[in-house]
Amino acid sequence: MKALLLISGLGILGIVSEILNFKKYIYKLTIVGLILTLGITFLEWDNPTPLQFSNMVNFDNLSISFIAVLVLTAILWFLSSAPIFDDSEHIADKTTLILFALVGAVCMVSYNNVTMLFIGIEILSICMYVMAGSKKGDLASNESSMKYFLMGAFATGFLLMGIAFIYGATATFDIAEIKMYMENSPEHLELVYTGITLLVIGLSFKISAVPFHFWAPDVYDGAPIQVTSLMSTIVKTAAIAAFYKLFTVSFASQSIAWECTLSYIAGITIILGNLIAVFQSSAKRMLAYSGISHAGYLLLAILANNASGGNALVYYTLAYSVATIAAFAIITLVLNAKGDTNFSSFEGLGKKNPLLALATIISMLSLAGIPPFAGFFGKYYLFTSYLENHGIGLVVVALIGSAISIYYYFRLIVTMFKGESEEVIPMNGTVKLVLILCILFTVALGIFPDLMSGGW
Amino acid sequence: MITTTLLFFPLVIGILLFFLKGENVKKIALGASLVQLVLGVTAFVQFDKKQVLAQYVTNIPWIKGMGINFHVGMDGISLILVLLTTLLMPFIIMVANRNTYKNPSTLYALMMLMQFGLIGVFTSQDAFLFYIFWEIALLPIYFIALLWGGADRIRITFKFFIYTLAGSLLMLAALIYLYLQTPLPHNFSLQALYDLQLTEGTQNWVFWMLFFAFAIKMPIFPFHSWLADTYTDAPTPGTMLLSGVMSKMGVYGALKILLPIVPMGVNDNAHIAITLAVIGVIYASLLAMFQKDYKRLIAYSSAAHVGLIAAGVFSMTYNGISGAVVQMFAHGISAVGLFYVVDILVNRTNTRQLNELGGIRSVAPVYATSFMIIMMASIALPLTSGFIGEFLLLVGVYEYNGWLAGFAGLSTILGAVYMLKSYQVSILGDKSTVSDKFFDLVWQEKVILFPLIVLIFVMGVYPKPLLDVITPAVKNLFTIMEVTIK
Repeated sequence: MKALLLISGLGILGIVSEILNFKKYIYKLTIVGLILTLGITFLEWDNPTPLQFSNMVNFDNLSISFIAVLVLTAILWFLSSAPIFDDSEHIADKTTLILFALVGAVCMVSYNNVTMLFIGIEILSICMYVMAGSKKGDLASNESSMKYFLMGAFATGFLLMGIAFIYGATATFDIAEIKMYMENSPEHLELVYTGITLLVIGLSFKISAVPFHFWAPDVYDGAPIQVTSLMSTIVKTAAIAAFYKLFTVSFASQSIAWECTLSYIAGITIILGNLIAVFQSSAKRMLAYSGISHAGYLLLAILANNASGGNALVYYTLAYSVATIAAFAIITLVLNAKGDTNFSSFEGLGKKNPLLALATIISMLSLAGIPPFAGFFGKYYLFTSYLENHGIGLVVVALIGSAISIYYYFRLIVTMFKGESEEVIPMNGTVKLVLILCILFTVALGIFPDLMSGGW
Repeated sequence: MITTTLLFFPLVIGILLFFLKGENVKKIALGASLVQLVLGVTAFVQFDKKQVLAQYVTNIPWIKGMGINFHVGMDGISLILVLLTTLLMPFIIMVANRNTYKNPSTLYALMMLMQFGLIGVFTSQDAFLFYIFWEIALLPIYFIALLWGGADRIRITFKFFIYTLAGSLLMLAALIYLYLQTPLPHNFSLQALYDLQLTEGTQNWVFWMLFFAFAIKMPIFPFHSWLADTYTDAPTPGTMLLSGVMSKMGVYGALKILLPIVPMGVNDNAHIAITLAVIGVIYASLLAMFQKDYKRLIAYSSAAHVGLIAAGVFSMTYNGISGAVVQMFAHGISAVGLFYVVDILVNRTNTRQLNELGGIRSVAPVYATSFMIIMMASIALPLTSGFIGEFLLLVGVYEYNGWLAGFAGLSTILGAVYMLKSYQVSILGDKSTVSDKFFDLVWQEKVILFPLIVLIFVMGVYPKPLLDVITPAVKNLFTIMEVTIK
């Protein structure tokens, strides 16, 4: 709970810094504040403060782990995105927006009441709509923001309608009470099922699962690259965690209403996301589509509908976020040096930039799920948790998806060693630090997966 | 303890080498590989031949929640392959020292990591650990072929990687399935998987999932299409690692995972597997006969030999399996030798095309004789290392089916044909423009070739120490399978 307050406090500090004119320190203050928050979150481990604010939020161990993942990702993101905080007069605005987005994300992983979930999603989304359009002069950025906003509003409609139906049946917003209602032979099944289906649609929009993914590639591609990085890490982690919590707590006993639909969504998302990623010529778009396919893998944890699914989800989102932050940091470097993010811009960079090459290799291998890196164990945990109470069918689909994904992840690695370029990409200290941290996390999590998978 | 040292010493050296520069890396890599050899020989000498279970065991929990242990050790079959790996490594590094590669420190580091992965595969007593090392071993060789390969390396290495990884994913799915069948709390130890009582139907489909993974790695016909390109295109040390050691991973997997875990599945489907293997043997031999590129020829001949080894394994006979283990060792030595003599040829003449060579014997008699001896080992002449293994393999296949043995036996004849023919064209004959430039072996080359030749004869004349180690392990394999020896 302290994390929520601290991050909100940091956000308010951001606004104040604009007024009191100390905004040039706000970037550093934010990083220090987030590191502090991370430390305090670790201290709350096994020392939970459940059910605060009239049962609106519940900070159990699972929420705390998700908060730790989110804050850690945010720290790495702030470090890797230093350039967008360098130049403009909008430092304070941007920092504040991101921090409030993080507040929204924290609400989404720790809610105990569906209204809180809704508020969390809205706080997060509104900040992200603005951030997507933060490159004011750029047409693509504006388009991205507009699309994101329209689609987001559309999804919100479904979400709200779903919540309303559930409320209509159960007369409560509290997820524990909804759970009790569902377990004790519910009466208004038609309302419940309609509500669940609308919620599946609304949340699938948010995690960009196929067939509700059409907004994602354009939004990801148009937004400033740092914002894309944020969208595919923090936003995705928060959305999937919220999805997981709602369905495995409240609707676990009514899995008949959503299991089949969600299985198909997961299968199609994995295959289609991976297949389309194969045909991309820009690394940024490739990562956008690969992000879609990862949403498909993550759905397996919800389908698993058990505690180990939650553990797997924490592990996977951490592994995925760290590798994605590294990948986007690399693409940002190339974008700054070469002016675009096409694969051809990466040619030959591996030869004279050892750190860049190593970071690319390790983050791509991790995303592709190749042992001994973190991504492999993420997939492994997801699959085993799913197999605990399901057949092997969807796992085979997921494995085929993984096999396809190797093609495009390796394409980036291979491109780096192609051609005869002698170019050296300039790198400042912070980016080096981010890359080294990401490499260390990815390797350490892979060699000692127990670090993360301790029981809760 | 000795297993863990064998495993982690190359890893430490490998990581160290990444950060070093200059000529020192060559010496450090060679020194480290010699230390490994000493360790490997020590393990071989101190091995208790009466005991059938794995020795030098280390078993500590790794991922507690999942029942995954860091469990390594060696039984007879593992020991032979570890010995082979440690034995070939110094030679491969000396060969690498003879050529100049850019970024040598990365190359040697990757070779050390490769050794880490290979020894890991051969010593794992836990199925999950086995899978992890299986993939770890793939990464360094992929980068060796990618960074130092020939002109078409990008496409070729890609195919190689996707092919082998697709197979391993099937294996992973099968292993997770098997893991979930173990009694609670689930665990991944090989022993637990051996103890499973699976129905015949389950064994059948698990067999196929595992078979694809191992068949691609060996490779068996029709999964061999990555082989010739990859072998030919990789730099010589990479080719040696691939054919000398890595092709044994698939066979080892079949012996350690496939046969003991799903014996009924193997029994039901062995006729398909063994037929594919024999078709592969003949097909590869025929392709070898018509190759004009010397390195490609050796690549196909290597595929033919590994095909015969696979046939021996799937014959499920005592002779076939013992022969497979012996032949894995012998083939490793002769393959490294053959690729090296061809490498010498290519370096001096700048061509791999058979028809451009000729007349070398008259200017380089020592070279020509060494070449001849290594070739004899490859075509399994009595008193050379190749004979005993090939003989046992053919006996094993014969015990399974006489006709198949007849076809498999063709491979020795075809082998002699293409080897001798290529030797005749390239080494014998009149002096030519090529032979004018050629000179005989220098001492660094002799240091590599002569020990290999000694090994070939020692193993051909006195294979008993190897067989002593192999026999109990193979017998134990049959006890696990509980299938009567046919």
